[in-house]
Amino acid sequence: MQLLEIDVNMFRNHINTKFKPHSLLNIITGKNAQGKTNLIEAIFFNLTGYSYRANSDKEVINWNSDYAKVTTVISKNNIDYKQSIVINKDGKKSIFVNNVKKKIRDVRSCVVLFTPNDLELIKGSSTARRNFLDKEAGFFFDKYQDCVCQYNRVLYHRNHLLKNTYDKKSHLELDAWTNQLVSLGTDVLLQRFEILKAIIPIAIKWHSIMTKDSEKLEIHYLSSVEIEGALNEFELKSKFLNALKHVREKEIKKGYTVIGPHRDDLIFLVNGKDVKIFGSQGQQRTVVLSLKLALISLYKNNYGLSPILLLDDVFFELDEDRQEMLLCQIEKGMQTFITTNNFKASSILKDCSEYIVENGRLSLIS
Amino acid sequence: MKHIISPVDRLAEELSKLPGIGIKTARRIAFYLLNEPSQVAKNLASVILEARSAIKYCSICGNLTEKDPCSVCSDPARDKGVICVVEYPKDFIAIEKTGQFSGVYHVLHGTLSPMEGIGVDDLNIKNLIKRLKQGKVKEVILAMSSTVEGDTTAMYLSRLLKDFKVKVTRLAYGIPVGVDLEYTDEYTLSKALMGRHEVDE
Repeated sequence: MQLLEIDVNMFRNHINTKFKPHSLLNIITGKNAQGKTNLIEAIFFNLTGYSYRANSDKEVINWNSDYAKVTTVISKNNIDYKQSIVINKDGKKSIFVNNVKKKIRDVRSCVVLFTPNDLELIKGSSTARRNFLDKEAGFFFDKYQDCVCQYNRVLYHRNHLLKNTYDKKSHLELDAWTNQLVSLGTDVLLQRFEILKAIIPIAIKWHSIMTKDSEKLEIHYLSSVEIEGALNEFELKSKFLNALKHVREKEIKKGYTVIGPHRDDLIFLVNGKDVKIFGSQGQQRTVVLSLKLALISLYKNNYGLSPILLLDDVFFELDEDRQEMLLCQIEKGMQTFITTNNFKASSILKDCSEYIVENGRLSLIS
Repeated sequence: MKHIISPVDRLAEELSKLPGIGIKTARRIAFYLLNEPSQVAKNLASVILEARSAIKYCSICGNLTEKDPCSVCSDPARDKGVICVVEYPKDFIAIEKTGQFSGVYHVLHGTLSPMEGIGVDDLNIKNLIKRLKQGKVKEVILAMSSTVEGDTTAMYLSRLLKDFKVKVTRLAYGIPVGVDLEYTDEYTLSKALMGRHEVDE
């Protein structure tokens, strides 16, 4: 997949930014607070239908405008088409492909994004790691998305019941919500295992290449339910159900659901030690990079999608070996956008276009 | 807004409280009623009042009816041994339209939904138990919608009915008739796959 044209309108500080990107490498330079990241965000917004930075997608609209619009011309399997996404002040998003209105779900494309914030994946709370599973690794897994959505709905109902209306008479009602939670939660778990089974070996492979076999990465799923030894769906369900029975009193006291996939976590071990606690900044970054490279392989091999790579302020912060590793991937034909305030970027990289962003305006340097 | 006469506004506001009617549609209806001869408005008003005062809940099944018990519950041709439990009166109409069902109904008037504060006591469940205790029922069909709330309500009822010697069934999940397979979402399709059955000769 490749972007042939990008046209950003009223998106944050970009009033009207239009350019034809290089087929492989695009370096976007500029001083701080000029709109480099905004451009990356705009591309991401066009391709996925949501912003990875904003709390509410409405925030991307320029202060002096009622709407924001990002249009791209995309080439996929040698067919070109125009994709625009518009968001208005009410937060209503519309997406058009060749001027025909479409559902976001049907047109979203594959993007791998790497930003400094991704270190949260290691350092941050378990929410960041669940989001990685749900929003990045499972993004194209529609059945998984539906399942997580339904699970969250049941969870919400169940928490309401526990918090507000539960009394001794309603134990049968709580049982019904518990059963639903278990049946959907088991589905979520099984699908997470499948995603992890696909992604973990690739991440480990990348990690050992990058560390030249000197470090060994392990990734484990940390379930809030004791699921050790559960061999199939049925056993998993009964373990989950039993665990919920054990914590029922506690749940009634606390007023919310204390165990389940919504409390689960991932743990990353390097040479047997938890990298969140004992890892250096560099080690943490390497783990995140391995995960991102694994995502690229996952999209390519399992889903047959060729992604677009967006690197926001992370490329030149890597050491030379890792930069080369990434470049090697990019040269295999992956269109990439890199932001940096390193103005000598193009001297390191040969075949690329370099742009400078000044106050929301983009111009080509070379 | 000061140029719009307040009774029109009030009418539109009342109309917009109805389900499925937004403020623009409400205004259109309001202006329509004012433009037509006054008899149209009088007829509509009297029909609404009449319906409101004449219609009550059937003491057996909980459906809306003019006379109690309702026409289905008092029909001798209906099989009283099979009860189809539905969420709302509109679901009763949907199933009745199929012409496939000759049993009787039970209307819950909602689903379990703690989010909206709807619990067991807010649904018409006690009457269902009363009907089952009479011992004439052989089968209960749970015809709830295939939503999280509908499924949970069905699950709750099936547990509740375990103590009675009745067969409890649930409507099948699957692909809507006349719909292309490719347009079915993955979750429905996977449920349909799980619920597949052998082709009868």
